[in-house]
Amino acid sequence: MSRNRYAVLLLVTLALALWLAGRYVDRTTAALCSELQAACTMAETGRLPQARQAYDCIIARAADASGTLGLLVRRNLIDQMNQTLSVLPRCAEGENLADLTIETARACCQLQQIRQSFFGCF
Amino acid sequence: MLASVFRTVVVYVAVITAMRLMGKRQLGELQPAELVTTFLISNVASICIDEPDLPLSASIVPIFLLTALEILNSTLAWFCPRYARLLFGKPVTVIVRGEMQQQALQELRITASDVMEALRGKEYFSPAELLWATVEPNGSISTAPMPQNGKAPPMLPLLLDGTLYRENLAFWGVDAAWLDACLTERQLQQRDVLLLLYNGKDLLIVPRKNAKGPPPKGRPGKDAV
Repeated sequence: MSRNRYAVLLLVTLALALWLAGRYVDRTTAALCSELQAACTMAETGRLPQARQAYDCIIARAADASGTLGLLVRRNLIDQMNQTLSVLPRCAEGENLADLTIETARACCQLQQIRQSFFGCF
Repeated sequence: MLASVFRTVVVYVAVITAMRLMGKRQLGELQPAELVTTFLISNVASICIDEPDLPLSASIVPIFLLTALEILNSTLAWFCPRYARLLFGKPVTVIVRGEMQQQALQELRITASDVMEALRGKEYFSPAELLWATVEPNGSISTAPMPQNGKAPPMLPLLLDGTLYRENLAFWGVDAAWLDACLTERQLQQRDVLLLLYNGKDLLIVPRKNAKGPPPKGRPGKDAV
């Protein structure tokens, strides 16, 4: 009956791995989304250099997280998010604020899709 | 390209590990439930190699989940004979003393020509050559030729894992009351017996290891009636 122990061990390991992966996806997407909102607010209130710096930080963090997220969700969703994020610092200019708001909303929506890709049941 | 090579190696190792963990429970061909698991694992394993867009976990997690479910399912079947019967089915006798059992063929939804084809594969060309033939749950056919030159006929299971094979009792012209009497004589009950075989003359009883009462007399597990 040692196979039963393997099976139980396997199920426990899978459950733990899925729980940790879920927590990682949830925290990463939530953190990136809230940082995007904060950076957008900075830009809207006229603090454009800080906003650009914040967007650069977000891009770097998203690039770091992409490797791990690539093991858990569809690759094209991560690529879409990274593409959207890459244009945000250039939109953080005085005359492009409307575009910045739209692109930030798009990036948040893509983060939501990444979350949904992991947590969606059917 | 490198991703595809890496994924193939990982999936290959995962599938081999999964197959080793599941083990080879059946000595013959695969049971339906095992066949389903094997097909599912092979399909799940290929999706992540076919589609580089999908994460590696889309293959690895289902492979190990199916492995764990298969092991637990087979354990449940081992502990619960009723569940095992539901899951694997039970053998159906299609030829009795040279006569084809048409009702059994109808139940199995197989034609007489299917049976004859299987028999020809075993080098029997007429049902009359057979004492009995049984379609096993895995789809194969087991046969016993008519005994010749005073040889003893083959043994048939009357009681297996707590399941009473009434058609085999009827085959030998005995009933459940006769079986209970035989067991009572040996201070056993049906639940104490792992396997009971009978060929019209000899009775072979394999008691469960935790069965109460003395072991059956005669040859190990075998008694003439």
